[in-house]
Amino acid sequence: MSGTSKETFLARVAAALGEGRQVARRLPCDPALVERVGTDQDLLELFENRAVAVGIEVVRVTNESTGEFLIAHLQKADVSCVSLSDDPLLGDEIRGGLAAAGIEVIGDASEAWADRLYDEVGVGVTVATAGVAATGSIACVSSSQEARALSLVPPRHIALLPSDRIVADLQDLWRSRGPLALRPLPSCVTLVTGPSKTADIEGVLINGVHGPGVVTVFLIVGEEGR
Amino acid sequence: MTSADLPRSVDGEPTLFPRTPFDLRTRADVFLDDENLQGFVGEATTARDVARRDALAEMFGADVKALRHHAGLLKQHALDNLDHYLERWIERAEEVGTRVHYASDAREANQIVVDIALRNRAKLCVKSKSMVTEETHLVPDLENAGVETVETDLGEFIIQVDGDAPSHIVMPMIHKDRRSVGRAFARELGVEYTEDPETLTRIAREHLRKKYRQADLGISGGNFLVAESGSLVICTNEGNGRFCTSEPKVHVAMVGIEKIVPGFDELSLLLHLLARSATGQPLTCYTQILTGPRRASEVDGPLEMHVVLLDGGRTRILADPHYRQALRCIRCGACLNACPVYRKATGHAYGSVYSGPIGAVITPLLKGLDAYPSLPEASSLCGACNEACPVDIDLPGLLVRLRRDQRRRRAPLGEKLVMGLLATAFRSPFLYRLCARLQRVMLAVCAGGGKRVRKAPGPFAGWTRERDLPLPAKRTFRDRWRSRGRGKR
Repeated sequence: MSGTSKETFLARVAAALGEGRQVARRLPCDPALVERVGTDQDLLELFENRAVAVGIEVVRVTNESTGEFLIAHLQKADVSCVSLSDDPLLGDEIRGGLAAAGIEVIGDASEAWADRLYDEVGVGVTVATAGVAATGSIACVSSSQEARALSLVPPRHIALLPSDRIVADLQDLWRSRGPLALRPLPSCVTLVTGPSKTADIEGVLINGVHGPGVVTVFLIVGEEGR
Repeated sequence: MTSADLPRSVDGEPTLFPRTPFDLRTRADVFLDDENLQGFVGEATTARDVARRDALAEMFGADVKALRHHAGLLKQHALDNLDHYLERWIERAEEVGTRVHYASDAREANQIVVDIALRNRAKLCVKSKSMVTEETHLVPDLENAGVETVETDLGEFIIQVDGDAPSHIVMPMIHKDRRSVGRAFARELGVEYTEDPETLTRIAREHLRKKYRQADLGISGGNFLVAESGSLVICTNEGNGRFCTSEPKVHVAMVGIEKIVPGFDELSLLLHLLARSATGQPLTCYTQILTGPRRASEVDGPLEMHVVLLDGGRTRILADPHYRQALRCIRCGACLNACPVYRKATGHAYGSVYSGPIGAVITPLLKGLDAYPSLPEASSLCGACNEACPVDIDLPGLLVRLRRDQRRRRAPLGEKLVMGLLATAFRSPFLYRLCARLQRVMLAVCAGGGKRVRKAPGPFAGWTRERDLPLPAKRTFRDRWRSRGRGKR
């Protein structure tokens, strides 16, 4: 094995800090500075505004109308081939609806699936684990139901987000009982805050450089619109 | 790549790895005459500087200063207890299957990565943007070991294709215009010449998509290490970083030890500051929190995840209580964008991977003041860098301290003598008055009847080479103060 041993390495760090220290108590974040979202703020509205500001399209749907909106959206974008997360929110009803509308659904994570994801799939449809109102972000989490590649490889990404999964700010994601409180965490959590973009060439903004150039959130609200 | 193939700068030396001791002036003089370069670097940095202020003010209003200070304290706490948090991070990371490696210096770090590549019989490596791998100069070592290594960040890809070197922490190709990209792509990729940024981006996209699928090794850096969960956090905009850490079967991240934060509360705050300070975005498009390799139940992801922890001179900085705060840096590039010297001299003038105010501080600290004796001079000490810094590093203070250290080690005898005389004069009101009188007479003589000294004599000529010195007012402040005291205003 190349490199330095763990013991030598850590001993050097400790020596740099000086001998005989006591570990200081963890410095807490000052809530007055950190908490920027008021308890009286409408999180759905805030999420929607912030997501739109970073270039994410937001469509409000209900549980019942999700499939209908999805199909209409895909047809409008002229997409004939999609791949879906195995999440129960994308159940047989929606799959049946897509098939009936002539939209091919590519499943199972085989080698052939990966090829087709690169070459044929127009939209990857995923289910977000959380939304962050303060930043307009959605959290995509690797799991047995959802490949990392699904929200990355196709040119467009659609994410379903049940409205009760929206938290006020980043720190709320990880708090106990927060949507990402689980330990150990899954291997990959990605906060998506806008379409893939670059401004490397003379500051000209271009979307979809490597990842999806279009990101749409289907915000699933109850009948009363919340 | 041999040293003969390294990208070279205006002085004929390798751009980021020049022979030392490095003299800032030899390069800066050439860049200072390049108005075209200053034009687009000035425009890009100014735009980002404005975007930073707007984005921070929009979210944090009047609290920006307090927040920067608070973030600085949080980062400082992590550094002051780095051994503790590092140990916790290692424990958690190993629990989820991450393999942790320890590198004392750049050579060791690169050797670890090369060994991992060879053990996996890697032929093609895709790499996302990482300052620390620039610092260790990893790519030539991988290529020498027979591993084709492709930069996938658009800016870094362009720089690699054109045989150039990055010149900004966040905007690596800030010094290049669209025409140079078009020429490089036509020459090296065999495509038709175009200077349309959209088309050039598409060409890179298609080229790199093939690479992601073929690559057997992915390399990244890291923005943060979260001690409480053993996670590696990577902030990117283009999506190439996600490809590099998800598609190949092996992912290796190289990270400096100063990237540790205790937990997600600190991470949340720093994430709010990082992208706003860098580009004016609320967050980068993608914030990845990577915690170990693919789990057995997961659909995809790398089978092995390695993290190489790099010291590379950092423990030396850590050991000095005054300089330790330089390690708070989260590499947002805000101090470069705010710096009037960076805007004029531009990145390659610094002769180092890290440029701008933070580069002028950490390059001499990491590589030795003897190797980079003139870098701490690359500042007007106007303080804009500190005001821009999201973790409130006292960059001007550290630059002054470095200058003092440098002078203590090897100030010219004449300078020592002059400074000693000045110190004596400033201590005695009588001598001070006398010197002030003498100075006025001498300056008047130098000005030759004009209002400005255009050329100072002898050793002072350097000072007037690029500026004139206006003559002082007719009456000294002391005289005016005295006459005011007598009731004459």
